Amino acid sequence: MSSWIPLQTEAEVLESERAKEGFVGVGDKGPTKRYPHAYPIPGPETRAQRAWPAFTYVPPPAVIDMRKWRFETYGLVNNPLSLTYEELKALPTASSVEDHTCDDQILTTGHRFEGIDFRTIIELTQPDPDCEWILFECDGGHSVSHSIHKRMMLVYRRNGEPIDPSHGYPLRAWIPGDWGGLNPKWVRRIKFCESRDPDFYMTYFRQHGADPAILAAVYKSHVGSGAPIEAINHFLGFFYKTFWWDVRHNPMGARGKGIATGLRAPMYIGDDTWANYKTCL
Amino acid sequence: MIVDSDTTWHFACKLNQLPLGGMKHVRVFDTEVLLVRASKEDIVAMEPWCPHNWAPLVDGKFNPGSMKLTCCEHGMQIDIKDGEITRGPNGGPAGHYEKCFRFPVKVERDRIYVHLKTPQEVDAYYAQCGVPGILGSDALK
Ligand code: FES
Repeated sequence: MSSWIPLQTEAEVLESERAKEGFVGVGDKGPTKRYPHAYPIPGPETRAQRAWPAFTYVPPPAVIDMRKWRFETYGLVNNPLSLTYEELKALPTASSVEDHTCDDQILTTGHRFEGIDFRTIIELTQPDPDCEWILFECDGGHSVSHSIHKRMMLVYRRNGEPIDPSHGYPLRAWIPGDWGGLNPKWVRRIKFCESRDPDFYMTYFRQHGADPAILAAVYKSHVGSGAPIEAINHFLGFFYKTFWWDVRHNPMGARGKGIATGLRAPMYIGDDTWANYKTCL
Repeated sequence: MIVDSDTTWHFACKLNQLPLGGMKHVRVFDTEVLLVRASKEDIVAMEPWCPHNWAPLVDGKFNPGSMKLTCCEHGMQIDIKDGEITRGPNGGPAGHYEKCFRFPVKVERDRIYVHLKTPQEVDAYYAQCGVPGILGSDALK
């Protein structure tokens, strides 16, 4: 384990879960508190926008072959799962009405997410007791790491419709109260880790010289956490300096670094749910 | 792929998740690795992408008898004993392809661990190519 990797104890994670209360939905009762807009713009303090924008800084997968698609778990588990999409949807469903705050502080409200509670996955896959961290691995190479003690959900429907391609069809993760950027789309596998494995953003920013303290502050902040918006803004500044520099000024886009802005949704094979989808990434 | 870690052995998956004569594409720390299990004790960890055009090797065919792995895309053949290329793409010559990189592996209790490259090893590789490495750069400061 490396000292630069953001870590939290179980108690710290549970405490931040408590701090999220009110900002996150409980079943079909939506949030009771609303996260204030973080930018000093004139107007009402809370500005919810109607359309749910889709951003992705890591390229979306070009093709998802639904004939071969399996949801998998591996690593520190006693019962590794490998489920087809149909089998996955046959698991007990959970639903929750949520607000969504993206890293750029865009607030949208009233998402009714349906999917599988992460506790169901834990019951099925039986991780070892010493497992503390998981890693969502996505089609297209993205990855996001979270504590196993968080409330999490795997989402396949939103407001009664299959979740759309720019928001991660067939499967995305939903971590209530976390910033949008930590909710990976197009989730394919979950690794149950022995210690915290660095995810895509951690590795990228570490290689570009990010300050570990800022990295840690960002990874433990969430919608209800109050102050660390400074850390987030600091991080966003860093983000625009490094990441966007690559995207805009590198002649390869940032492709040479494994990064590109995604401008199209994946193509699905063996599944015409979204055959006529007009991409809007 | 830069490993910046106090330890260089990293957990990959449990032994029973890697079937005999089978392959598994796993993420190890910040790196993707292909695990191949030729026999009960014989586990090989290597780069998961084909050296010809980076097809995922896990989609290819592995023959545990001859220890040869055939890429699904153009049929390049890799001998996993030493990573040597034994047949080029589309049946062509193998000569000018570099060996496939193999990572050291160990099994402890029922868990598989992989030894990734350290920043020093990455730098040594770059030095041998006559290219500036990473330790002197802004990275890892
Ligand atoms: S990509 Fe493997 S043989 Fe061409």
